[in-house]
Amino acid sequence: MKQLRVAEKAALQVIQEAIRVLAVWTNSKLKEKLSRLIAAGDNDDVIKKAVAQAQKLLSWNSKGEPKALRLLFDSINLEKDKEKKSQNQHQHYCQPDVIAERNPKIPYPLEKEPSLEDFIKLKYEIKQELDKLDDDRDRDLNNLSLLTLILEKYGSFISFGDSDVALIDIARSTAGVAAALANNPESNNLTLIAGDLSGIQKFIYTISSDGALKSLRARSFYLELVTEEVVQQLLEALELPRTNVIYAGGGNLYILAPAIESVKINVAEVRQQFNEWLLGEFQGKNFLALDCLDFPITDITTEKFADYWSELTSKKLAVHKSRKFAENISKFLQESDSYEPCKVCHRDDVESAELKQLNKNEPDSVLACETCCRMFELGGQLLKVEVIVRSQSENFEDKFDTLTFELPATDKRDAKNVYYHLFHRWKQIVPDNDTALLVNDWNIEHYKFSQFKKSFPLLLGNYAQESSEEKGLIIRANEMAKKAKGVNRLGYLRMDVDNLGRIFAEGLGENKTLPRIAGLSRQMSYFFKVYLNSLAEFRQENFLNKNKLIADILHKKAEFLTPKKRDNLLFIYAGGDDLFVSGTWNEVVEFAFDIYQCFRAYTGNNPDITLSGGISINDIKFPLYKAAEESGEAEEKAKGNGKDSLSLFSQVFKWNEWLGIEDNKIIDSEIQKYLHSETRPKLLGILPFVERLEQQDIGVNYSRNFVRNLLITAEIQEKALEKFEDNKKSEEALGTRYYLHLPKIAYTLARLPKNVLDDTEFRTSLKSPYNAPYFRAIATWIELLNR
Amino acid sequence: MPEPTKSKVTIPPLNSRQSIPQTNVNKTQNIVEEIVKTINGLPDGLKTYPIRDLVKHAEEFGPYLKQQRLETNQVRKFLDAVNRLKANLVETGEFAKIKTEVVLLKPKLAYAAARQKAAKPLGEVMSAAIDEVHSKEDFERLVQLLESIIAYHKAEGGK
Repeated sequence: MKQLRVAEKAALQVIQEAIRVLAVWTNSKLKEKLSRLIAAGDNDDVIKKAVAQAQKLLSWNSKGEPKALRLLFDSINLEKDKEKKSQNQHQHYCQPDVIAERNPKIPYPLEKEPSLEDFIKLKYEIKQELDKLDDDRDRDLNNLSLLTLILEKYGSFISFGDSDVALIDIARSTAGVAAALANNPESNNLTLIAGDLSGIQKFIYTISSDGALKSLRARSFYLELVTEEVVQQLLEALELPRTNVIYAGGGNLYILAPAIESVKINVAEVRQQFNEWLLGEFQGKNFLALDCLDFPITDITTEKFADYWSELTSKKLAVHKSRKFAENISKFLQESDSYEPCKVCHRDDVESAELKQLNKNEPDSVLACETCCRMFELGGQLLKVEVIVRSQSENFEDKFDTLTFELPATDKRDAKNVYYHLFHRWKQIVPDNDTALLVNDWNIEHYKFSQFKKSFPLLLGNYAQESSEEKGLIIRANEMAKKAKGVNRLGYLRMDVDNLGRIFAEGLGENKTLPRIAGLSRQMSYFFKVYLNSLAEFRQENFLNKNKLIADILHKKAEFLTPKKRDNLLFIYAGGDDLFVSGTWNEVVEFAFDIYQCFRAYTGNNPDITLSGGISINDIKFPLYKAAEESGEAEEKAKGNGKDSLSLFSQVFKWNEWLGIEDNKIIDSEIQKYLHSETRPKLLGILPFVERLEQQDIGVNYSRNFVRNLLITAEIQEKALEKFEDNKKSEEALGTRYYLHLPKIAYTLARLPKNVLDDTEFRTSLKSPYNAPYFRAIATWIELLNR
Repeated sequence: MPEPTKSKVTIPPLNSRQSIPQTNVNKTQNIVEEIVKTINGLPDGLKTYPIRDLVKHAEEFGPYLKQQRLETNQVRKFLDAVNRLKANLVETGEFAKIKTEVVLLKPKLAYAAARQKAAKPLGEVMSAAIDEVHSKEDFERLVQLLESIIAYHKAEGGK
């Protein structure tokens, strides 16, 4: 246990120094006290040396002051061409701010350097908070998780040292390095541990049954905790503090560790034990790839760091994935009898008598295995979880549910039971607790609660609408479908960041250092886990405001069909860099557009940081796994369209085409040349036409006829285009796509009521060849809204 | 025929929709000539009539026909015949089977033009086009031309 104290002490000292930086900056009364505390640590030579070395490596200047933080996303550049590269130079700053206690607002970047007033306000708030930490026994000041949370809350939007490195990232990185060094003072190397819990998709998406939405959500939640448990086991085994976790979430984890033999052994043992457990629990659907890589300590601040990062994730972990369960082969090959499969997950190794009714309230509910029944039950209750407490004790009151990990004994490790108790309210007294995970919570007081041994924030993209039929529970699919506009269907949206691997491996150029990589993953996952919740629940406060500077970041105004709330949504999974969201079809569509625009603004409108998404729209009776498959295929199509695209209504276009945002880049140069004699229409794309028609309220019959004619035209056009599959750019093909069907459109338009035709912009724009590719998308959207 | 001077050509707009800008009046007058000239100048049959030009021409020609008070029932026999041939071609896929009938479309137009002055411009344009039909692709383009003209004619309120 002594070593644990050494590593943790080293980390604590770095974090205390970071807090002192804030204390000095804000002139808090803590500054002298902290100096004394830090100096006291000087007695221990190992710690002192480790901290000093880590600080030297990361150019930590104890006398430095926090300054304005440049937007890290600005530094991302995937352009190889040097000349074009220099054109992609952006300049954004972060607004100096605090992360709110709950549902923090999306922090859009500023075009100008923040003013002195902005800092004064932040400094005042920091001073208030720090002054409160002053107690007699210095309990708070020695509480590593509390201090780290304070740094995250107050130090995410100010820089320390390099102008694009946030205080929290440099502090955590330095603490991590110091902790690793304290355990292994003489070494010139460090180890990076990476883990990937694969099969998450398989696990989540194979379900096919009623009530599946909630089960799915519960499963993704469960897997988040599995990832967390792997982290916990590793930290315990390696005797490292939490600051050494660079990133953990959504089945991925990165930990910084000392380069010693025991680390490799521990990593292998943890891997083996978890896979043994996964094998028993999920019949091998999930697999934990976990490995580590030594690298020279000095490279954490060079571009080589990203190389190690990629080598570990794309090479070493890939090897594990290609030979799954090699270390558990005897168990893997064990024969087992097969029985009637579980109707939900299709596993067939459970005796028929053990299958139970999935929904106890419905007499003809399907039979499912114990895990699936558990997930179904849990799913309904996951609307509000404030704290999850990890403990070695199984039973006590007040929790609403407990998730248990019964890790089996292996040759090297003893069997171990771990319990995660779930609570609706954060304040809980739990015996034998070791970690409290406070869900999406930045309330400092909660981290001071003395009954929690250690407490960390657990970020979860977990928004869900509450059912109005069953209070306190998550909305059910059929209730949601009833709330849809037009046709009563549900939408399923899958979306992720384009070129994420390249962004991490190449994007930062020569600046691929540990603090920046850590900052990048922190900011990415904040968007998908934290800000998405805020956007769904409080759209008004979080969406881009047309009148504000924010629109300038996007260099265009924000677009949407309706300004209404879109909260009839259920996040199945959101985190890391991707999401899977269900909801009423019309709100899912609008939410997708919101997400895209908010994300682009959040990342400073960087042309190299884009999203691709796919939406499928289905009846509630449609099996969920099929819907998930369809939206996945749609997302693939969007990727295939040169990325930065959305596939919706079986049509794939660039986001700007959907949104009707003027963008010279969306029409490729050959087509541009072909159409050059035409003036650009006032309305271009899909959304503007749908918007106009929805506003006009043209009456059911007119609308039906118009939609029908538009669809017929689209069909004829698609058929005519089939023969040009091989040569899409020939004069014939272009003529067919852009001109041949305009006469029909002119005819269709002439049949609309007079008030629509008086809208010259609408009329002339729809007849423009520029809009010829969008007929089906426009018609389908209007049709679904009015059916 | 003497070229009409600008001052004389004040065709009152038929409705408020004015889809023929005034500046194009001269062009409108010449649209028959322009299409015929284009078709006669095609390098290799009607199929080489670029779709873009075809649509642009139809866009002018359709409203012109409306001005001339053409009604589709005046050329019904011709339109029906074209549709029949089109269906035939889809069924058999062989141009040879409809080749002679294509030539016989011309008398139908001449007949209509003789009875109704309004049918004359369409007759002129389509005759020129029919002369350039030597293959399946040419015929398909002929249908596209006719359908485009009729669509624009109807869009102008033509019946």
